[in-house]
Amino acid sequence: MIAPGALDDIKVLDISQGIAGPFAAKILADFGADVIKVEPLTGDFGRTMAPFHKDDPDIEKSLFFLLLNLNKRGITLNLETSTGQKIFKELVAQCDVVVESFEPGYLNSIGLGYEELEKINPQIVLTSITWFGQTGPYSNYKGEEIVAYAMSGIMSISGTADREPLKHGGFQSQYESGINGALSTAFTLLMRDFTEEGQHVDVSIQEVVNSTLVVNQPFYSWTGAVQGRRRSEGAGFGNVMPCADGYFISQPGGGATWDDIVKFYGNEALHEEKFANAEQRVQNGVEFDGILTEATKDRKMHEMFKSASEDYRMLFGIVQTPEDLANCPQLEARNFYQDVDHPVIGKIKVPFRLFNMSETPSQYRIPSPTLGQHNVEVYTETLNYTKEDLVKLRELEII
Amino acid sequence: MATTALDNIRVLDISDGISGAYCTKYLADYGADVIKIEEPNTGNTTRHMGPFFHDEPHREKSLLYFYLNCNKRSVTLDISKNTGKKIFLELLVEMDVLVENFQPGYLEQIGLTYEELKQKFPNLIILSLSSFGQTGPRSSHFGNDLIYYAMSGIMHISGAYGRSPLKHGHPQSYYMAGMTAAYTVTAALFSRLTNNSGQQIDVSLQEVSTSHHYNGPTRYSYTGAVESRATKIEGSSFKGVKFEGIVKSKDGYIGASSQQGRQRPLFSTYAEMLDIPELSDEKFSTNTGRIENAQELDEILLPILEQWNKYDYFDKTMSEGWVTGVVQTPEDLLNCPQLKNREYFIEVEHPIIGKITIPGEIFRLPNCPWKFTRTAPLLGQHNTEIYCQELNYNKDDVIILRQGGII
Amino acid sequence: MTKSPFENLRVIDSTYVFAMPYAGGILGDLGAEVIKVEGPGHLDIVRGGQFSGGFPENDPGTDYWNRSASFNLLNRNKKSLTLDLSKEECREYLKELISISDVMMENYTPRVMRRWGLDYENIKKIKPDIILISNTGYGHGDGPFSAYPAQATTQEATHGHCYITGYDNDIPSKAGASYVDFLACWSGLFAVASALRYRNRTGKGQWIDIGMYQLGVMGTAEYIMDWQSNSNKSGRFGNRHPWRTPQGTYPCKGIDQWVVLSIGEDSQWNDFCEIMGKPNLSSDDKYATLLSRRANHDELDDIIAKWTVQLNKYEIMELLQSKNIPAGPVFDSADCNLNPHYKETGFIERVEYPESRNMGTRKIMGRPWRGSKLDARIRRPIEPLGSSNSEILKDLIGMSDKDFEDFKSQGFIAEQPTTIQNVSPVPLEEQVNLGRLAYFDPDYKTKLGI
Repeated sequence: MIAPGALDDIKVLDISQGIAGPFAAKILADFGADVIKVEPLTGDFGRTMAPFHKDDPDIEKSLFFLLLNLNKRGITLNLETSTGQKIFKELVAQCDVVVESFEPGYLNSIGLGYEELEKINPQIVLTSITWFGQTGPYSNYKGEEIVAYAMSGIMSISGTADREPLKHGGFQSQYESGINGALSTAFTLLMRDFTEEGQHVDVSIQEVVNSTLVVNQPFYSWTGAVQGRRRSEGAGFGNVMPCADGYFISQPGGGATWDDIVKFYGNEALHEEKFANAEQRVQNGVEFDGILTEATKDRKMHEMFKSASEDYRMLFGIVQTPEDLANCPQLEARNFYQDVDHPVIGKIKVPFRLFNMSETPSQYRIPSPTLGQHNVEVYTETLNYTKEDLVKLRELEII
Repeated sequence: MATTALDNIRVLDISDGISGAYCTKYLADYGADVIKIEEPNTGNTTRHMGPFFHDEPHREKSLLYFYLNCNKRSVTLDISKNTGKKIFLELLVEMDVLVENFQPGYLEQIGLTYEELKQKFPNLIILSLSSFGQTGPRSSHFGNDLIYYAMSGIMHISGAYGRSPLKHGHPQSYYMAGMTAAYTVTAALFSRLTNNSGQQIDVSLQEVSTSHHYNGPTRYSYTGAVESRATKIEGSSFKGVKFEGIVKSKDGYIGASSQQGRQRPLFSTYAEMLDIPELSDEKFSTNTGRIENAQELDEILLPILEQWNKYDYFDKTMSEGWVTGVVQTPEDLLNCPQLKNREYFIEVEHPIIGKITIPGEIFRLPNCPWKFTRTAPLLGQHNTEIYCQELNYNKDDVIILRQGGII
Repeated sequence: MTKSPFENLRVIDSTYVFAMPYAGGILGDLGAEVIKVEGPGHLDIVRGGQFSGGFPENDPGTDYWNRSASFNLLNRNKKSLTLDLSKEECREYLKELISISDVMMENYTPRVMRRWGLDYENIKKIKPDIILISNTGYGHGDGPFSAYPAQATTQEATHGHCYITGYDNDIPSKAGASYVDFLACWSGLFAVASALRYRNRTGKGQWIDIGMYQLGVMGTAEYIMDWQSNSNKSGRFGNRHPWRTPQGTYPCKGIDQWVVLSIGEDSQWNDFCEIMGKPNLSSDDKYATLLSRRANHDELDDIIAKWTVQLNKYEIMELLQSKNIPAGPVFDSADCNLNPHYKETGFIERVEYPESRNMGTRKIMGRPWRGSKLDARIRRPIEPLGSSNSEILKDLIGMSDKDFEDFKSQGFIAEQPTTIQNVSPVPLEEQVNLGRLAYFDPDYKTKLGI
């Protein structure tokens, strides 16, 4: 470690699986926490998530698992057995935070709910990240990325009015919830420093996504109005449009005057009254789109981005591909990528740095763990088991 | 590459545990192409049984798994799901043999029956290993080595009189069943040459264990007599004498004995060889005499034997025609000059474990020799190879199957 | 007696629009004193215009700048201070305020902060343990984009999300609401909490430098890895899933009513066929296995849609959830506001405005997390513009009455915008007719109980 970690006084047990919980625990690890990932004997189901290194669906080669679990040591433990539960409690006694993502009620059912953990360690912070939270009529409903998206309100305004609602690509609701898991844990730790008491933190993925609808949601409760999806024609400003080698989005504002924008697109027709404000541009959408499309059909994405941003101070975006992002000079300048050497995958570049902190920056220490990689280390050093004990525990399917 | 006995035979081994794996080890070692089907995330239970390489419990470091599974390939598959079941049936199309040890009734539970398999694959040899067989009132019971051994009758006559019955060291019943199963498979393959049909072989582990106990049941059915464990030391059976059993040597244990081949020479000859004149006494010259005077015999002889190094005793007595034993440790076996001369061991290299010495060829068939082709597979190591090259899936399919928990 | 570490925390919130103001509002929920600083000629644009989210009962009233729904959501709890930071005299008073504060938040361009002497190096001289959060489009530093104008909408393309979002076989698409702002808000909150703990342990403050671009890129991380390892360029596939099949959005009874469902296990497929009243479908070779369902997804979607269109979206959710199948209605904002589940979790809070504000009682989203012993709640509405001018500048910092009046007359501090706009929102029924709103619910207040 070159610099101190903001959380280097914190020990975390990460018993979560998938995306949201592991991402939350990784953020804590990136900022210095000692995170031990506790997996069932079959491994975190996240190990089955594509993409895989060289398309080989091996339990150690999920690239998704890799990026979500850097900086953690890994042990296996069967929490369904009473011996496993006992060992878990021994670990809890020495830790500050437990991050979990099981269905509400599951930890209680195996005697590891917050009340039980609090008895062992009154300072423990239990952070639970679930689809709908710990309480309420939907708390035991089965969730999925698309369900969180639908039931948060955002899908009703995404896509076009002439088609079905559209979800965001990838797994944004779970990335978002990971960050919320980390921040609520951090605030709780701040509180704990003051009161010397732990508590149970309850994060709901549905609510995380809903809380981003800062225009749409209050629109109804303040005025009764319900927005819908945009029309498919008249994409104009603010939506994706094609160019020679890809796509772009353009908006008025930034540091550009309307004159600047007209010069950029090189078509005086844009000065006409019918394009003077946002509403009119939507009303005359088809024509407006036509002018833009014609103006950009022979222009390339990256060239337009540079020119619009530097010469005309426009708000301008280009639809970058994963390849573009992998090679992006801005991301390089911000040290976004981290070189990692993984015991099975080998050397690989991983998206890593979320933001900068001058005294306690995020730091890479170790790659994601192979399944049970640190069993011997953790069980013999942190707890008092011998190597012989571990062989027996493996044969009994406890670890 | 030299051809060997089972070069063109294809085996699908979906068993879990030692007996099925040991059976298919014989087949693989003699050229059969054996594909193991293992549970997707943890693999066979034997991967989690010690001893482990450097005492580190890890699914790729079990030395037991390693020994049992050289020469085989591994795929992962969950046949309890529709998608997995379909792939299982696709794999069977090209197979000659299926080895399984499901609990009787399990296949029905997941929507497959033996009838269906026989109908779809009439040439398939199905080897079904189970605790108590496919039929009978105990067929659904669970068993293990201790139970098979106990129920075979051998345990009853093992151990000392006056103490509880004693189990054999090492779970031998699994190995006995595996070896038995291997020859039944080859018998069925042979039979198929003439009658062009597969069959289901029903092997019960309890019956295999029982069949090794030839003496007791036979004696009872002829005479009504029930054998028991060895009598007390002061008693009347020749087994009671400590000498003739396992006794201490200076550096271990030996099986001292005064037998030469099937004959028993004069006991005084044995005493002379060891230079113990007191033992040439008349009273020790007969079997009865030695039993009656067992305590005195032991008091004279045993302390002297305890001065011998085990191999000195063994080498001397054996080279003079006596039939003696030496209790060899695993280390002794690895250094055994006889085994070395017979090239019993072989050194191989495994991607995780590294270089390691394992038992190799245990009997010689010069025209169809034992073959080593690969070390034990990593879990699911051959998923892409088998599903894409032998079945018609592509890489994307395999990735989807993995994500869906099918493989 | 102080009950929490937040009670004595003072935060200067000199930020605009969504990301940092929301973070400031949430710090206020925890009990911190948050002072929003705006220039009277350069007010937060969320106070009016397209991001305002409407006015109470669509009425801008006589002080529209205090009445915007989104502005009140994002900036709850805060004190309001006006200062024209483009003027050196005003910056001097801000520096006084910095010297007695714990955290400062800003989202100006790097160039501006340096020019004003309010960058980290300089304010550290004023208060050595200050925690400064800066939020910009691309982050500080000398990367090629760092001075580019940025905003969440256009950035959504640049940080890669449009490439992975869109209908099947269609062009890239935006999501319907801004996204990366919130990643910045939450990252900022995590960073502030961590920085405060670190400061408590070591006495050191620090500078938190957030660039929204890389936060957005993180959400496409797995695609970047796939490109790197496998040269895979695939991007969008509509509402489908990398492996779960069928998954999609299906029409229900009514206008623009939809349900989503996602089936993974073969056993879930069997249960679903039973629910649809088509048990034979589960063993049909075209759909019986995961791979065959994927090959025939389009046909499956048609079959499913023919079934869902007969039923109410909530009904479908209940039927599928009773068999442990992930499914849920597509909520519009009315559904979200009226969600019975939120009644129990307490996600939406009831905020009473003083009678004099003429804003009634409002329902405002709280936070998507709770701590069993954490006192986090909306404590008060954001006060009207400039309400704390006197309290902060005169009482707290010690500005003289004369200077105060002087600043007022020069327009450096005020209680209304320098330029008052003519705000007259189009009536909602008309907006519906114009196609700008899906619909308008005249009974919203009754339903919300306000």
